[in-house]
Amino acid sequence: MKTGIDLIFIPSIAKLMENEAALRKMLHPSEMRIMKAEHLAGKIALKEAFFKAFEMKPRWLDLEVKETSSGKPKLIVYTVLIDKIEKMDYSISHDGDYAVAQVVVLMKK
Amino acid sequence: MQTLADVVWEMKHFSEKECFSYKTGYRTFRMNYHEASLWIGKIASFFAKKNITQHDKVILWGPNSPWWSLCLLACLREGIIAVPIDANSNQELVGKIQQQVHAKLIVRTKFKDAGNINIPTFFLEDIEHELKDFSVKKSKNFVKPRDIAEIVYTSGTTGTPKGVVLTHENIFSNIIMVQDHFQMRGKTCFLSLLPLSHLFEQNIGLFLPIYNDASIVYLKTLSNRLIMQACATEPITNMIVVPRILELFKNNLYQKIKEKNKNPNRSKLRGIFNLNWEPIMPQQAAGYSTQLRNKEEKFQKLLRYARSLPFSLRKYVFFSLHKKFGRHFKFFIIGGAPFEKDLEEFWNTLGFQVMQGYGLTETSPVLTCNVPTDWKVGSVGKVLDHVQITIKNGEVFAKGPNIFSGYYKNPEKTKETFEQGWFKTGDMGELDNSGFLFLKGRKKDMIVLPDGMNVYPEDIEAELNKEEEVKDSCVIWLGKIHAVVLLKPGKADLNKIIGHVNSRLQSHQQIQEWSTWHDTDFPRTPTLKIRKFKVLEYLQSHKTSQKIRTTEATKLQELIADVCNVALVKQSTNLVRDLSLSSLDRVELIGRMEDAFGIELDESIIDQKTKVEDLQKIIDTKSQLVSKMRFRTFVYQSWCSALRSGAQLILFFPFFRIFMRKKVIGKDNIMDVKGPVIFVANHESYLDPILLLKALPFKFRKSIALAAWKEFFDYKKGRIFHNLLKGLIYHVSTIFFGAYLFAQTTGILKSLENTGRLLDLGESVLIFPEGRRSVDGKMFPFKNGIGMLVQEMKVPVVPIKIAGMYELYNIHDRFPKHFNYPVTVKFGKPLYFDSESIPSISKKIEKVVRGM
Repeated sequence: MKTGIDLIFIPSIAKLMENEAALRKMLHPSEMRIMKAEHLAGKIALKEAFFKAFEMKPRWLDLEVKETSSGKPKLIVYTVLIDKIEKMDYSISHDGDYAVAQVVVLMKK
Repeated sequence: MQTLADVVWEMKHFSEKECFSYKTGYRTFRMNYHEASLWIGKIASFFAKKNITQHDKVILWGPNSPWWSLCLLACLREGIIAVPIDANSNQELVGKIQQQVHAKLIVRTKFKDAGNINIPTFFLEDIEHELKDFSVKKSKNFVKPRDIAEIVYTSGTTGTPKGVVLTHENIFSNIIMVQDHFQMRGKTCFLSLLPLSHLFEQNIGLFLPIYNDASIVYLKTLSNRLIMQACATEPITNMIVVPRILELFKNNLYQKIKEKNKNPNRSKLRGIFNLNWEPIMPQQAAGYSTQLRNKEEKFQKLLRYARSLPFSLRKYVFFSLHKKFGRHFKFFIIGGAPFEKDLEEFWNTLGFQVMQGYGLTETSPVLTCNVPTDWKVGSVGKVLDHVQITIKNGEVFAKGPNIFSGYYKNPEKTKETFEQGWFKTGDMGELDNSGFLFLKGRKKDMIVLPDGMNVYPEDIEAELNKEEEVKDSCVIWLGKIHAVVLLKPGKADLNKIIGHVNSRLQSHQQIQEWSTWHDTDFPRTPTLKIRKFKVLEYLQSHKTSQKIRTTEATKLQELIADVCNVALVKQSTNLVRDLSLSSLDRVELIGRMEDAFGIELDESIIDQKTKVEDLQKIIDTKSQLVSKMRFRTFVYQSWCSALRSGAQLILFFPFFRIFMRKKVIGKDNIMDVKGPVIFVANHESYLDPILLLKALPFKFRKSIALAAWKEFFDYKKGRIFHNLLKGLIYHVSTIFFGAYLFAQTTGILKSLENTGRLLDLGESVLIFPEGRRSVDGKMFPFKNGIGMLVQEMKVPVVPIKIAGMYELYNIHDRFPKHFNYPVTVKFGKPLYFDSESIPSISKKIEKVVRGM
């Protein structure tokens, strides 16, 4: 079992938004359909929380966060890590200037 | 024709001529006049559908792009009032302006946080995608000359912005006057560098070209790399600039001369278009070597020599510099801020014509202008026809059809600016006998001394900027004549500099107080003029004496300091420990470094132990490797592709026919595909490319480039035979098979750039995304690079499956094993992708190829 959590200051994402090159290193075009700082902050926080759970260096584009109709995001993992994961759950929230995300992973034995 | 709307309506008659091109970094997107007017129709219909009618207002907020221009033109055609706002403005300013104008729609860039601005929004980046299939409805609006065309918010050097109301008649009359004055001839192509929210760029850089069926080049970012690429590949004839841009080019040029001394192997003029302040190498700041001095003296000698030559011959002296601007380049058009005479003379000595003009947003915008046939150094040119100018008490007054009617909802300000029907420009100037206007500085900035003497800060600043150690300066009135100086990195004695300058100044101009500026640059307006009131504000609140900064920063150090918001980083600074670089900062830094140095970098290069000097080392080695990846232009010229087709048909195909007998399936799938595509195939053998070339229909075969594994050709030290063989293979494969280098490790960005260039030339690209040959007859997983390529290039992908080649000649064989062996090539249906994630594109293509 592993867990990771990340908190992001939303105005820092607003600043990052003006640097398209940097943004594209972290997010796929499909994740940039809604360009609102709080949305992007949530997605980036979720990815960061995932990296923290696995104690790995960030490899942003190996993950993709999709929106679903229920409002809960869907995290897609494109690396071999997916084979080690038995179960995974996560959650995003934001209020005011901060966005937070948490990941809980149950590893295969 | 009487209005701008008529100009826009006329565009469709130029049909096939190129109108806009847009460089996004890898690809160049082109649009001819017919397509442009079609898009304008679509955007106008979209506005109509959104219930935006004549006299409604639309805010435009974003960086320059063809889409920005098309939206503006659509507004003008329909009589909708456009409110352009500078891309760098913040949301507070946009909110303030919205409170005044009550716009019904804001068309803006996605890459800007709009906070809580509550207006229906449309994104510039989405126009192409969303309006692709939008039906064009007939427009019923009729625009009259007195209708308002735009409300332009001036970002002058004084406080809160005011909205300048300009009618169609104002702007249109100005275009006609400039047109009569200029007499544009021949094929013209403008490179757009200044913000379109500024009327100077709009009028000269957009309306005038469109009126003359000329073309305009837009760049996605104003990086040195893109400007250089544009000059190399587009037939640019004119650039519209402000003085500071030419100053930066000049500084970069000097910098490159110094660098060339240090490292003669490096191409000397790379980086001349850098719009950031020049990096100063620590060694140089510490003092010049004798050799260094020699080279600089040589350049000075060359300048002196050129000065003695007639103007038309000077360009031959500096031909290598002229080459950087492209062979079509004619002249600069300059305006927007005072242009120092020295700088003008410098560019003239190099053989460049710089045409200075003068005007204000309120005069939509041109009042006077030099023309290539009739110009004077130091003057802003002759007055346009139909414009009248008089000088009253030294101030320039103007009258004419291009003068605005008033500020938006600001009658007091309007009243202040007019005197008996004359518009008071606020600029001081004088006319000479032949009608040339010479400016003496802005009235508001003019310092009137207690004894009635007038001091023009520009004069003092010009003297200060002549000093070697001074980067820029700003002279203001603080009860005394006060000079704020921005010093170049290095140990400079400001007191000494001021002493020097004062000895050259007249008695009433003497600098009485001085200080250094605390930041890396002055606060500036979008046209890069110094915001003097901000400097003044700062000085009044910090009236303590300031220390002289002595930093010796490289470009990388400046970049890191900027990202981390610190004043100074040392070579030995640890990025994570000392600067507490967060993961977001890390990404931002990597993104900015990639942009600045044109190489791709992985975030993993920064870890707990990384120091600034380590990064510098990585950048140096990488840029050296990348600079070797040259693009062979001649290979894709028509004579060479004809040679290639011939050689393939006569030499290669008959020879390899001995080994294989091909069977092609699914040719129908690709016969209808138009334009360049990316072919993606599995890789079983060295002979795959030859088989595929044989299998492809001639319409693709005659223009196809093969992506060759770059690392295969890498030079290996000490292995002479190996290097000779690889060299031979390189020449044969480029010339006879149209191969180009595609890197898997260092040089990916450059590879993408070269691929984009090929697709722009109309060449299709063949690539093996496994990156190596199969070892057991099974496919390796596709690399993510293919997803990146497809996403960036925006062309269809044709999957190809090869079978039988593994049995014929695989990675373990020295020679082909069979003769006349049956092999099959299967072409799949073209795949189209649209804003999908990179891995999912790679996975999808792989799945298709596997399933074939």
